[in-house]
Amino acid sequence: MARSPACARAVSVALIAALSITAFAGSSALASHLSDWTHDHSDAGVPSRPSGLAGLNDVFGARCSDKANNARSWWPNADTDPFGAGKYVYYHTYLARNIGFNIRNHINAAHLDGALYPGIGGYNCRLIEGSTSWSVHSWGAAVDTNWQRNPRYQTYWNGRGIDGENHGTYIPDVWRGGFPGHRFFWGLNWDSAPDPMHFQYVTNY
Amino acid sequence: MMRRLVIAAVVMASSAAGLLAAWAGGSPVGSAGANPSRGCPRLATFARGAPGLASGRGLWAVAGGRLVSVGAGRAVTGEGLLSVGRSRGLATATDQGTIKHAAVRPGVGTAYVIDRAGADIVVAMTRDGADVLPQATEASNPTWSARGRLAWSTGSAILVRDPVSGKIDELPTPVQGAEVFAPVFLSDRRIAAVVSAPPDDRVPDGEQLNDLWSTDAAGTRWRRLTHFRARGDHWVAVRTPIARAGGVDFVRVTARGSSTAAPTFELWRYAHGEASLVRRLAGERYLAGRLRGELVWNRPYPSNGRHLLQIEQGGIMRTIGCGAVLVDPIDVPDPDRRSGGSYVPFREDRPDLSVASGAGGEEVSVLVGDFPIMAEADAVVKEIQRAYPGSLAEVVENDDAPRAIRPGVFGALLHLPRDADPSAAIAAFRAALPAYTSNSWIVTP
Repeated sequence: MARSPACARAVSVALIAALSITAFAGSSALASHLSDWTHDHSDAGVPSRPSGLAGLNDVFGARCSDKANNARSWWPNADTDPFGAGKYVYYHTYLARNIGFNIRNHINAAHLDGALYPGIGGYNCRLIEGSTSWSVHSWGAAVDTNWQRNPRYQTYWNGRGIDGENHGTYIPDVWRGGFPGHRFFWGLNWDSAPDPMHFQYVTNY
Repeated sequence: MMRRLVIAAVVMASSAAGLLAAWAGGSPVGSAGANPSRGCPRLATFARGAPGLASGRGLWAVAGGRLVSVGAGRAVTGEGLLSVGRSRGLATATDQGTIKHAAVRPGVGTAYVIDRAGADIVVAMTRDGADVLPQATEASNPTWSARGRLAWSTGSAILVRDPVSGKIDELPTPVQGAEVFAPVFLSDRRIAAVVSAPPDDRVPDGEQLNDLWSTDAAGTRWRRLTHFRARGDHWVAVRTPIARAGGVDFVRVTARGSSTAAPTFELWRYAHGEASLVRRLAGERYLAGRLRGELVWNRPYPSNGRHLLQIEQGGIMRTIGCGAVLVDPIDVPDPDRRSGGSYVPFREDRPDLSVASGAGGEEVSVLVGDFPIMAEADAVVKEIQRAYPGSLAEVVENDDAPRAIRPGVFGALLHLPRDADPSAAIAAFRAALPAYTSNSWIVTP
């Protein structure tokens, strides 16, 4: 069916108007500090979590690739210089909704950005120390958080945030979550080399 | 019946031919361009070990949790290994661990690590029997001297065992807080090892700078042999050193942590007081040892979970078998990284994560940024609108999109449908507007 230019223009205007209204409604929701924000626990929001190196490669593709850092979010209180400044955290697009929408919004909606503490980081193309195996960060499938107070080999989580309050395991609980939570594996659960800062979206690697 | 016999005969003949072709005399059986699974035949497992292990003949590697021999077509499990000769010390199976880091010294013996969750075991096999050496922590990279001294790493120190008395000396890392690993004997009384600079605020784990160091057998006179540099998020790693003619061959790996450019792999040699680049390598590979004077390489194929063993001859890599020698095996999970371990309970007032998905905010968008002035972002918005007619694109700053962009800058945001696939969306966007490939991301506004 052929349409006249005037008709096509009218359809375009209507479409843009509809999208604008949607966008306006969306920005209103954000402006109200996410009071109506809810998790996305669909398969898109919390996709399946792979196991082992083969699963990591199947789901995330090659390490140190563009896909591994094609998504990002802004995290306040993440950097050390200047103290407490924010920082972009980069990760794989497979985790864009789970980290950017679910986890980041969860902390923000609970008004607990103060539970964060420097430093925080995601994508990082590197080998595991002393090993020929690659860090899960190389696939953009892991995020370290509050590492200055939660270094590797520490056997507990220090929940004191940049606001000086002790938030217990609030931050780790958001990353891992019970069913149907956010499903990140917490490095503190490695017996021989606990890594409390570390949360990764793969097991058995 | 006759048909079955013929098929069986063909299968047996093929298997025998394959094994002979693969192993007899270490003949090449494939090349880098060939199917990587070629050259990895199934080997019969010896229940009670193999004679070559004790004498340190040939090249032994780890494949599928077993030691396999390049040259003899043998394989042996950890349990079988410990039944060789007279087992001295604690008799144990691999105890749900896995074998890694095989070290062979002709005429001396073979050593390897039983990698377990937590403390590991070092096993040393000589003509006198198998010595089982339980460790208090992680162990890695055993190596032999010509006179039978055995050294290995525990991360914070190198341990050296005297072949006669069995006494073990500890050589602490030369830099406080630094890891020391991958020891090699330069002589019977001199050891080189890799030292990793200690973590700091910027590099909390992992490593940024490795160098080769050496020390006397007492560990009192450490000396830095290489002086590599790393700045910003650029890192330098030293891996799989092997001793040769008083010097050390090693692989140097460099990359930038934030970059998606492929890491660089190089063959280096330290000799006569100087480290020099031998040549750049074509992709990821690590040294595995030497066979008849030729360097043997381990080349990972993560997609099929194998490490290939390859020899370079005339510029062509020829596959001679499979298995990890000095590298960490990738065909079995690292026992220290298996899921499980200590269960850390949630706090009592844990976050309520059970709320089902609702009509919450917008989930993902494409953002181009960051621009110091609004006009630049606005120009990009117009380009997006031309490329995506009818779409909604707008200039945003931190007040509009607090999780997508930092304060003080501007971005061009393309709204995506709620059910958009982020990976497909960013790929399509960059295909449509390639000028913004390096500064476009999937974000949550």
